Amino acid sequence: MRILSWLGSGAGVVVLLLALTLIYLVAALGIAPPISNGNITASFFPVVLGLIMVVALAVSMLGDRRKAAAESDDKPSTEAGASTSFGPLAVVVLTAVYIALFSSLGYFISTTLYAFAMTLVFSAGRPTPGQLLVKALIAVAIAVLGYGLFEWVFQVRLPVLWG
Amino acid sequence: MDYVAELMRGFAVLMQPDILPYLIGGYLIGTFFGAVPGLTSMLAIALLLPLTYSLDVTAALVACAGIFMAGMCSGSITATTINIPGAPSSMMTAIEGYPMQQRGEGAKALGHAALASMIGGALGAVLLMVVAPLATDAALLIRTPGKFALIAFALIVIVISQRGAISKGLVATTLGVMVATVGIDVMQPVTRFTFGTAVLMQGIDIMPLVIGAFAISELLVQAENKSARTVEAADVKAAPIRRRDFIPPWSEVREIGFFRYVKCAVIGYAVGVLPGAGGSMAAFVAYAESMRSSKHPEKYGKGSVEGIAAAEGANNAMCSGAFVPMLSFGIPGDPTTAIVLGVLVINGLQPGPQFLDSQMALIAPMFMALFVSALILVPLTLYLLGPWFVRIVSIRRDILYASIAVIALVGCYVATYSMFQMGLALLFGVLAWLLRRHGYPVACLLLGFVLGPSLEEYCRRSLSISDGSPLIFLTSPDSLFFLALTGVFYYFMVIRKPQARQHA
Repeated sequence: MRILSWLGSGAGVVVLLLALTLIYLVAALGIAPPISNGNITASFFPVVLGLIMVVALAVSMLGDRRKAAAESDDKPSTEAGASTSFGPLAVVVLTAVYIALFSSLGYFISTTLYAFAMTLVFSAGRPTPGQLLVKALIAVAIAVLGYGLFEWVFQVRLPVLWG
Repeated sequence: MDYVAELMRGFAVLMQPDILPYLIGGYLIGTFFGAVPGLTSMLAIALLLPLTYSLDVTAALVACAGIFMAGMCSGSITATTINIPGAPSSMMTAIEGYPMQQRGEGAKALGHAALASMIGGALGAVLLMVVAPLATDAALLIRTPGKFALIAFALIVIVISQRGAISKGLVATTLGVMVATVGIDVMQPVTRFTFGTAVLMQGIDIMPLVIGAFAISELLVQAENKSARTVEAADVKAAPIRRRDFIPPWSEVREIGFFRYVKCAVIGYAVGVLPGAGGSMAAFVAYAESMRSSKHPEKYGKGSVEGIAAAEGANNAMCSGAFVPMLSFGIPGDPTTAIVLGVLVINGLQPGPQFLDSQMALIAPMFMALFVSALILVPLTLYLLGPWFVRIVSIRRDILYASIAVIALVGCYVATYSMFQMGLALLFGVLAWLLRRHGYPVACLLLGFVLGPSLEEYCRRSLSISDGSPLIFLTSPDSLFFLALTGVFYYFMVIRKPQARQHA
């Protein structure tokens, strides 16, 4: 959980982008030398982009640090005190599971379950049994309306459980 | 004459019963997305993008025009009635509209906003029809090094227009260009950054990037909010609006003045032509100019109808201006036109200097859709739906976001029948959410992605013409012009501006 929290911080984003840029730069240099026999190659542009990115990230990080230092003189850091919300993590996990099961479970079952789970994530507080029933009906309605939109209006084929 | 005849034919196509519903439907969807706090017309067009695979291109473009125009003016409704701008471009309207609402003049403020949107949007559409062919002729004069310099100019202006976050704008734009380099090289039969994955050989499609960056990242942002409804029930009860009060008094319209309406429309249109500027900047610049030239600047901030007219006229005129660089040069001025460019590319069309000549039959209905939506749908929607609007936009968040999630992901699937594209959309969504959390402008990511391949292609073509000498960018007159223009913009937007602030 701490790793996820750090990844979501400003420094974590910079480190993530820097890591991606370094992988990108290494892969670019693996394609060909940027200039060969006086001609630029397929790796020239990506290498230039990678270098611009490293400089931009460094400038951005310095700007953030300067800003944070100026703010810390006036008030405590908001990032450290920020409350952790599990909503975004739940959306990512549920969406990943939905994508994984979409083909095998078919549109109706997977979409109804996904829509139901999403109505729970976007609820204000813990739902009562009666509210759960309403949310289940909403999930079915969303799946049916989605089916109508895609299958009937736009005439595209959606996956089915035993198709 | 041929051009005028094509426009007339475009109007006839727009009025056909199989096309007109797309304009009305798109306008209503855009109105809803523009008015609900947290949703934007850009998200509506992003959700429409996958559906364009199975839509007729004229219908898709007409729907996009309706959404774009509606999204700009509908934000004024919640901005005026409950002081929550439905769209960022309505910030200035909230400053003037809400004090009027508190004085019991909310309906009149909305009437002024609709009238200015109508005039600004219609004038902008007329300017687009007049200027687009001229811009296309100018585009024919630009050669390969000039094309590179023009795209570089667009990207640099997009980055430096991110006030207070230029380095973050550069990071996001560069990231977008980097993503666009995945797949087969633009000049040689070499694969890049596929890491042995066959599905990446064709490159990354615009669709998962758009769905991820604008739909999924929005879901992640909204998942942190624990409200039950998009607008609280107490706010709805506190904002009664009567239909009979919508029509603005003639004396006030005369006081604002015809010249001010035209001036703000021209400002909005010109801002729209600039890459990366958008509706917020158009509204702000026109508002500031209107205040500077007003006989009653002391009324601004306390419910000035001039301020409302300036901001709303400009942001609607901006819609048409943003189409000029996209259609003439293939360079989108803002994220919405970047997605419209995606609609064209999906249908095998590539905007550029020859585009208007060869595809005017497809584009003319869109021009007319911008005009008709501004002139007819803006006042009509306000009159018919105005009294109910705050009620309509106060909906349950669980229903709204569960529906958006399903439409976004299933739309992503039906566009390509690929689970991989759905996975990519999720990946881009998480990345865009992380960027948004820390102030990196996601719009720059999309514009970098769209413009990146052309930037690389023209750069390499130019260098191969000059045997690798970068001096070609200085010896070619068109390239030199755009490089000098970049310098001028950099001076005015980055160097001179902070000095002005220091003196203030």
